[in-house]
Amino acid sequence: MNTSLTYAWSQLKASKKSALFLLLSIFLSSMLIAAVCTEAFLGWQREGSYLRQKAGDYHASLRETIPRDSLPLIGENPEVEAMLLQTDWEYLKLKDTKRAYITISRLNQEWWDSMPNKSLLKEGRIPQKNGEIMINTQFFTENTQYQVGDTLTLPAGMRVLDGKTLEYGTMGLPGETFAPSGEMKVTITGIMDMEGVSDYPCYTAYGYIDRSEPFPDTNYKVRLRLSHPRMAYEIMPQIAENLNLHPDADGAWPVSYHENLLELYGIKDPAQPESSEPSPYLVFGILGTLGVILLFVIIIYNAFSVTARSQLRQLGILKSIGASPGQIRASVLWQGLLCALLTVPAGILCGFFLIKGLIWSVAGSRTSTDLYSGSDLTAIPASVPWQLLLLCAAAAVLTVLLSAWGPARRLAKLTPIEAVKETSPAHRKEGIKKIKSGKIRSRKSGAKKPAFRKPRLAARLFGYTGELAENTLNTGKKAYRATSLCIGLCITLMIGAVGMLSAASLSNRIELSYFWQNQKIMLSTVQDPPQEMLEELKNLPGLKSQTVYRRVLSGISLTKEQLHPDFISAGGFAQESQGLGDYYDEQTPFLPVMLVGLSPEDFAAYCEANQIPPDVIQNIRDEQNPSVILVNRPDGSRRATWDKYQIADTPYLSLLPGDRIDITEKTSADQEGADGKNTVTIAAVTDTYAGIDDDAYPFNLEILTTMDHYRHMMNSYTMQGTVDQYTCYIGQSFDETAGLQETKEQAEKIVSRWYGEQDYLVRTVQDEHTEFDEAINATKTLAVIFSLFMGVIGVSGAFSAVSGSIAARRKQFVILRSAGLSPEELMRMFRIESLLLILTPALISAVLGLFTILLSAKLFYYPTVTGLLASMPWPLMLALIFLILGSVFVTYTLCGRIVSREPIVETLRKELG
Amino acid sequence: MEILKCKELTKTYGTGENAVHALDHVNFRADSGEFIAIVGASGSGKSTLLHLIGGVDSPTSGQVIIDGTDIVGMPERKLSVFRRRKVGLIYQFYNLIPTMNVLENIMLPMRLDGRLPEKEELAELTDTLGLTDRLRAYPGELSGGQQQRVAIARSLIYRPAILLADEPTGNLDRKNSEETMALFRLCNQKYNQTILLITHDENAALQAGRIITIEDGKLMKDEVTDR
Repeated sequence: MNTSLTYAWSQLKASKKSALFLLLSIFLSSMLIAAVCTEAFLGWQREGSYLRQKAGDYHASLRETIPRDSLPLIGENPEVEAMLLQTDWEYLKLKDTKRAYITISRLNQEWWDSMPNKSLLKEGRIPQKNGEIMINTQFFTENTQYQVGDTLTLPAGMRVLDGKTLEYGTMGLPGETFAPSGEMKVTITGIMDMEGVSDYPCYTAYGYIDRSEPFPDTNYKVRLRLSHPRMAYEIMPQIAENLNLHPDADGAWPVSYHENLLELYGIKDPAQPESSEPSPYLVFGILGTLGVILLFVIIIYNAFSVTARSQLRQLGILKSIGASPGQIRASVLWQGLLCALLTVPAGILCGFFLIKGLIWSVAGSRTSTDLYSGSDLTAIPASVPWQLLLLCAAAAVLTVLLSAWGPARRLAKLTPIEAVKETSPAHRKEGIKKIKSGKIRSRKSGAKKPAFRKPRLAARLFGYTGELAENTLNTGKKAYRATSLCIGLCITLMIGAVGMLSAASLSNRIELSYFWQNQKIMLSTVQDPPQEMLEELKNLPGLKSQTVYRRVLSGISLTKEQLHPDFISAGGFAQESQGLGDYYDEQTPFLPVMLVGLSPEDFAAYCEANQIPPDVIQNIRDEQNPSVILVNRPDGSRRATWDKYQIADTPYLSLLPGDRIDITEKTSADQEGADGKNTVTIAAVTDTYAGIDDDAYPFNLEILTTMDHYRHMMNSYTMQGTVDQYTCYIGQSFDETAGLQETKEQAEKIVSRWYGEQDYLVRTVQDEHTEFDEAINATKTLAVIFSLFMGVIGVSGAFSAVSGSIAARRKQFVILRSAGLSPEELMRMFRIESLLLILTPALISAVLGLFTILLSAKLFYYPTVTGLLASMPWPLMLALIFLILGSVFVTYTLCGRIVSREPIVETLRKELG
Repeated sequence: MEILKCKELTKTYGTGENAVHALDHVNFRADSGEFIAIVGASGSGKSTLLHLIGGVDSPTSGQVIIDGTDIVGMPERKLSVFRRRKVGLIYQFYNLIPTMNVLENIMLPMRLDGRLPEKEELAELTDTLGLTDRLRAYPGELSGGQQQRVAIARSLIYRPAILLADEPTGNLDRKNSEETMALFRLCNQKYNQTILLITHDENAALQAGRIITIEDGKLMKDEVTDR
């Protein structure tokens, strides 16, 4: 066997204590590298899996529907791997059923295979032939006379209102009729797990397009999976052109891309260079790995330095008998590689299973979670590619080699006699520096050393044993560097990370406490909620106020002159510190508007509270001349958001009662396909919000009207089927006596008597905070685990360094004892040394940790420093910190006890050779 | 035949008024097969001279020519090969590798060359040095005399041109000292080894054929003994 390898192996076997520290550090570094890379990979896979499950396995789609006769132009294109087809929606008129229609769209086999529709199947099977359909559950629960296997022949046609065809998804509207165009025979093969809200008059069904038969003569929605997805952005415009589609005024073809999936594969739209950022998973994986490597190189480098130094004499012997510099370097590097061989595979596997375990324990086996974007965790593969694990192993080995290289190179450069005598150039340089600085003069020159040096702090506090302790600690400083670093990192991370996360949690809680409403009921209904139900809800214990409303985000386009001068003077859109104001153009501002329709009672109460005259109220209710109330303040000046956005409480616009404005369906200037618009008159201008909480953005505008007007205005919006526009909200505010869990249960009980489970949702601020805290707590747990890891490394390093250092200085201690130092005084010296060792990292890291807390309090707007300090889990943190620091103290005590009891003469004899 | 020549060999530590001249322009030569004792007071420069000849330290100026090759200024890699093959270095405190057994310590110079010794040669060496039944033992299990014999065996494995011993009996009792000196005489006679031996022991010095006295870094006396 190679001599360097033999030597390295024999050294590792002989010095188990220092090897243990190395082994542990390498194990932890490889575990962390594997954890980072596994999480990056699994995150990437999770997202890909989620995107394919939820949004479909395709690359691009045509935004316009394609007539049947043009389909071969697409299907025969060699760049198209699969063509997914869905027919336009049709209606089948039912008789003697709760809802009036079945709305049906037919899908080809490629669509069934690639899109998430098949995952809706609850019972039976998906359609496989023309005429077969899968229909939603409510069809059977609301009409018990039907079952799977039944065949129905039904009139087919469209829903119509005032001569206009109603789009798919439109709620049941008064006055609508059915225009038949033929007949369709359908056989029910499966039940779909899908529910529609009660106001929707249709049961949804999917059918089948049999490729062996002529395709139905209708238009098709087309999605494509390409043979070369990397060329998607070149191929799709060509396909659109071949189909005689036309680009818009900006030159954009009517093509949509499955951008999220394409970006996951690193495929970016070349027309949007700002989107050419690397995948966040790749960035996280690379940066995370580099971070771990850097951290552990520092830690293991110091460990290697100590190890190599303890072998100085032996390596000098090897050199003196002919080992080349390369062989000396190899001896040190082999020690690292042997440690790596033993621990890297175990560390990699542990890192992989750590992440898998964390995913399962934090997110559980729920199929939907905000933390992981709703992905089905049970679908995640059990393994990662062996290439990735190999890469992780290589990174871990690289860490070891980088750490060992410096000490190995330094040792290889020493002359043999320097090494044998254990004097390095560094020591000689140090000595010469002291000579030059005048601290020590050569005896030959005749100058004298100062008799006494000034006593230092340890000496003043602890006497002569303190001075001895400080001297011995200073001579062995390098050996303790890794220990000090790890202990310092442990404490800093624990205090800092926990502090920052506590600040986030506290900030969220405080922000939620500013909300007017601490419970919200959402009803999916076009109709007004029953008055009886509202009265019952008002009687909930602790209720202070209740507001019933509908709301939809809309937009308004203004001129620069319509912005109020006070708003401009306060800084305009630049007031907002996070850069969100950059999205607004002060020259031609387009503002998002929260259009709110209040219930009659709440609208009347608002007008009274704001002293709006009765004639104005009358005008607002005038159907011929719809009017609104402008709440003339930017959203960011509300109390709930003021700390976050720091927007001045000034008038927002220069509009006055009588001015006419257009409220658009668009919520941004460049939004396509949302062309609805309502021209209204401003009946009144107030500066008081209606007391409802919604997602607040700094420059949103609130506009109020009655619920009737609101419903009327929605008719002009093209996306009539959007459930959100037809959601009715009941915002409730409870006082401190009410327990929100109880109020939620009581509210659910009341509402459930009028609405089906799918038609309502009750949420409290407690729910918001609990979900937020779950995510925070998961991260906090990770941070504490990591800091504990650092603590464990620090403690094991301390054990190794302290015991090694004490063993190396045995001669010194025994000489001190022979000169008269008692065993008790020797133990006292060790304890003082341990205190001096842990004091510096503890103090520095405590200061850094507290600084992080101060910074967090500033970053998160809401918490005060004292509030934040009070909210942190100090008992647990202090217990862990004292445990880690105490371990160092215990190590000194144990090792010191052994040394202090050794017989003087025998030890001297042994040490002096 | 001349095996060793030192020309104007100088070793200085420090600079200016703090300079210490450990060796001061030493000129010295030795023939093949000579047994030379180097004596002098502590700090006189004996060990420095030995270390410079052995290539384990580098001089400030001067030349060290061994078997026709000037080793001063030689690249470290070549010098390490030289140390392996041409020089045997024995220290007062044995300087064995404590984590390798006797056999591994003895074979170390050859193993550094990627070679193994001939079995017969190895057996003869270990027999001569009385180590045959201790080959698997570790240095910590040997007496001082046995450890020194291992160090001698290690230095002889390559049959080097020169054997350099720095107070090899300084840490041994009388009996082991005598045995060690006997081994040196044996090596000198049997293998025609050139031996340079630093010693404070007058008896040991008298067993050499030539005594060199060094004082304050200078070669003061060079006399042939009656042996």
